Amino acid sequence: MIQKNTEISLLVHFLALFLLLALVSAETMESDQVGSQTGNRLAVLEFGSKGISAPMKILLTEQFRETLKKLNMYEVLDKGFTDRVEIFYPGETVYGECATLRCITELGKMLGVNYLVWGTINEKNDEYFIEGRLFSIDLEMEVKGFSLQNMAAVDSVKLEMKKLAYDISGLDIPDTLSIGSVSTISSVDSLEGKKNSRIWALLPRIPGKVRSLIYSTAIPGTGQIYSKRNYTGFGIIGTEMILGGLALLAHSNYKRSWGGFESTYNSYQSETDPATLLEMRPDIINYANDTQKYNNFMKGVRNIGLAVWGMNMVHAYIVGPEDIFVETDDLSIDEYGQLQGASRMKVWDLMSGFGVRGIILRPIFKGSSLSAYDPYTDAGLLLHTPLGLHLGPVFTSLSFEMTKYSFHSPDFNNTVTGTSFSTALNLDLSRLVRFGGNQLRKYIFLGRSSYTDGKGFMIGGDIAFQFGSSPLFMALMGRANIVSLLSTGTSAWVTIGANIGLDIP
Amino acid sequence: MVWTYHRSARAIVYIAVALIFSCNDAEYQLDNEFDPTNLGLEPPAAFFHPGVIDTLSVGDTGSFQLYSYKITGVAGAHLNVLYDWGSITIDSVTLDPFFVNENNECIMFWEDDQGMLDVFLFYHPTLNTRTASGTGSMASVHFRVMSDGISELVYGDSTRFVDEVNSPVTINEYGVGSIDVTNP
Repeated sequence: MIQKNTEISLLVHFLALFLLLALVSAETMESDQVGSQTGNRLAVLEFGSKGISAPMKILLTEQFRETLKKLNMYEVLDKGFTDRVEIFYPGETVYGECATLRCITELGKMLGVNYLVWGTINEKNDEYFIEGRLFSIDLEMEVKGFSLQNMAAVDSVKLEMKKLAYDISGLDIPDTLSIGSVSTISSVDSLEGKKNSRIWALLPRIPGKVRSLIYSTAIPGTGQIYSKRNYTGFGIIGTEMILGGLALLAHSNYKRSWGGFESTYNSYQSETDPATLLEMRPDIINYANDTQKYNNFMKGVRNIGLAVWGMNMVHAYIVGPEDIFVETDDLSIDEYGQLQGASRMKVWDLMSGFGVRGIILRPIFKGSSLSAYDPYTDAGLLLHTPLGLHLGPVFTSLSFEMTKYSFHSPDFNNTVTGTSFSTALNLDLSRLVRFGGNQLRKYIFLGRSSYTDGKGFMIGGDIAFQFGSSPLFMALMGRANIVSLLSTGTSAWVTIGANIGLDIP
Repeated sequence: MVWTYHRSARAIVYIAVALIFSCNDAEYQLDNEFDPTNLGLEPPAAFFHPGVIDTLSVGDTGSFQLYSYKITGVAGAHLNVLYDWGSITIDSVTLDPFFVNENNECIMFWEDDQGMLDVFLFYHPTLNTRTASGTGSMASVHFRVMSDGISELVYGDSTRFVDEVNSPVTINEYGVGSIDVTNP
């Protein structure tokens, strides 16, 4: 029989090993992937202008950008990501604009691109002049310059911007190249659409940090997501959901104990038989102790939840975007999904594949030796590891599960309670069973379990749903436990439940 | 209607309430006057139930029980009850469950002699058990009120409990009772 302090010691040791792995690898490592990077990422800065309206300037810049994209010679950064970075470089005359090489180089590095195009469009006496430069960020120098002048009509300007895109791409300009009025309109519409989609909420203009704070105050984690700290944000959301689940579990147990206390105490106050009264006393005391235990647990969870909420607010303010200087995060991973391969390896890369989930479960079937007992809802913890191997389309890995079990006789005189520790093989059947697509993960567990007063086997399965592209998972689960306990002999029970947590991708 | 039919809304509210607030701790007072723990007796003990009878008038009938309190390993008992002769008369004594075995068997007889009631009880042994234990009513005494006043009920010195080999079973305390009769 594993003593209670040994259970805690085993869990602490496992978690300590897990954390040690993370801490040892806490140093951020840089890998020289310049050579192996796709060296054709390009950003187009909004052209400077004089004499033309801002919408026209935006339209022409976007036309140029879209044409470059379609030509497929460069991986062109979207307008939204380009505009997210604003830099006020010392020496620049215009706030938010770069004209010097050093400023442009710095901006290009922050955007994570290899090339950057910048120019101006001027109008004077009904004539248009376009000047532009192509910079190599890696070489920190101007690669190409271009200029066009003496265009008399806006349509000519649009056409010339398209031609410039061909020129930048090193391609021959086709004879049939035209403005394409439909595409012009749709690009304007899409500009407006993109503008509207960027609006998070109808709030007055509020500094970015304060906005992040407000979001996180309302819903923990959303401020971090707004500040592009997606992992942290979803982690906070997941943590609060787990705490809420634990509080709900404790509340359910509290309600059950309170119901027993209330009915027994009411009966005690009206009963007149001494023998019956004597039997009721310990039941009332036990129920009262249980309600106090669950209430204290809820208070503890509440305090932890409030502490996490408070820290989340502080963190949201700290990581909130500066109005002057906004730092992007994980652009290459978010935007260029096909081009995964960040230039720096981080802790998350080494922790990739590990996952932790909180469990709530309840027995629905039990063996004959437990037929006189009532089952109760319990909690647990599930730890995934990436330690495994591929057997065809099925990835088999190691996982650990710790769950509590409790069966009570109706009069609470007899109980079968304890904690089970299971080491299981986790078979990922998601590639084999295509139902639900990639968002729905399917697992089977086969494991050996150690119970408080016995041993046994565990068989089960999970159907896990991934929330978008976040590492947050929620799963429905079922487990069958076949056990040999000192208290009941050979027995079995089947549980169903749910788990929620994070899988580091 | 939203509250009744939207379980998800209720669940969210429960989570919010559980996170923000906490529930009441159970407060109780185990002060029922009939609870043997509140009689101030140290078990094993014997007492009268109810301890005070004050709702009767002259000519009324009533009853009280001879109760054991955490007495263990008893095979037989002689309950010697002293009462105020003239205030009440004993009509009958009936058997109660404490000395009745699983086959519903027990031996009991009683004698009443002008203020002294003797009740003899014997546990009929079975294959599973040979003695009675616990807290329970041993016998019920039915009486009639003859005159007003207060009649005390006391276990006399002859009261004894024995085990299966006729050795005495120690009783720490005996409770007292009273029958308080008022004029109509």
